Amino acid sequence: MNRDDRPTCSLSYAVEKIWKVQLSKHPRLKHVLNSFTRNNIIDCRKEPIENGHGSRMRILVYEDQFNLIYNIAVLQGLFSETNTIKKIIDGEVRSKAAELARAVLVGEQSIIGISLVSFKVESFIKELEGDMDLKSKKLSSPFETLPQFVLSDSISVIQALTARNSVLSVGDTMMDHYFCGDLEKAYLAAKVLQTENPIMQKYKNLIIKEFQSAQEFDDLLDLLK
Amino acid sequence: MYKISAFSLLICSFFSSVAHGSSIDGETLIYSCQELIAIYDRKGEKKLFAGMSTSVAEAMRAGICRGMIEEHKEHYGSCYSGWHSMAKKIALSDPDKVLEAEQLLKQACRG
Repeated sequence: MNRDDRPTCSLSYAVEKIWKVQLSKHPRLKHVLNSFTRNNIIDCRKEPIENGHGSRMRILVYEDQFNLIYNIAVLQGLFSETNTIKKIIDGEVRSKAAELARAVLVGEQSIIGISLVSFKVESFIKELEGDMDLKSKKLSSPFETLPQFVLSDSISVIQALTARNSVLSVGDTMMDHYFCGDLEKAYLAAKVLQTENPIMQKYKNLIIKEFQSAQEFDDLLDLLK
Repeated sequence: MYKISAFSLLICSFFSSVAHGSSIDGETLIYSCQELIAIYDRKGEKKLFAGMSTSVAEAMRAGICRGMIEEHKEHYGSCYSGWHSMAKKIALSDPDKVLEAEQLLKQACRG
């Protein structure tokens, strides 16, 4: 029973339309987009598939969601964790993410082998720093080509960074853990991080201090029990 | 760092003082003990959670409760209740009933 007449299409069709690639060939992108349809952040309709067995649902995405889909992919290129992307879109970690993006992208010509477009890097960061509606307005993409389409899909961007032993990977992991509230894991990453980037240094010191303070407090509580 | 100092400082100062007629009234004591219980509850929930989610002000208030309980027990040797159960009793008291801190502490000792 159709409640509205808004045009819909499949995720595959949407991806084909936006990037001219086949969604089935890009499992990471497929995974993140499916997650966001499941939790309804991407506005969509679910219909049972007509071959009679009834239990499988076809997902139909409203065509006004293309900009959101695009933004999710761009954010995945940089941040990789579905949960982090969600929290950027709903605003919870958006400004922290913008700071990290600024630390990581500005002044670089490429990142993990992906060329960056410098004037778009600046726009992207400004858009993240501002309050542009990420669900309806399209982000500037700092990447010449999305990492998901260039790197082998069998490994995540973070794993790719780790494999190349890049400072970026440890920093990114440290921030991921910090965003997710896992202070201990963030601390472990912070301890091994070596960076000359002043913003990352700031975060590293902040995380180490926070952890030590929390640990001291916990120990004191134990002592006084 | 500051949380630790605030908490310890208050406990020490109450423990070593013989002051009565202190400026801490019953209502303040009740709220302080509520903070103390809450901190230990949060500690039970997850590792490091207490440290991450307790503000400096909350820690200081909690210190007031613990310090006053310790001082009371020091003074009244016949008070055998543990600090946690005393704090809990005080925390559950009605702040609108005008009671002196001293009375709250005495009552918390019983039973």
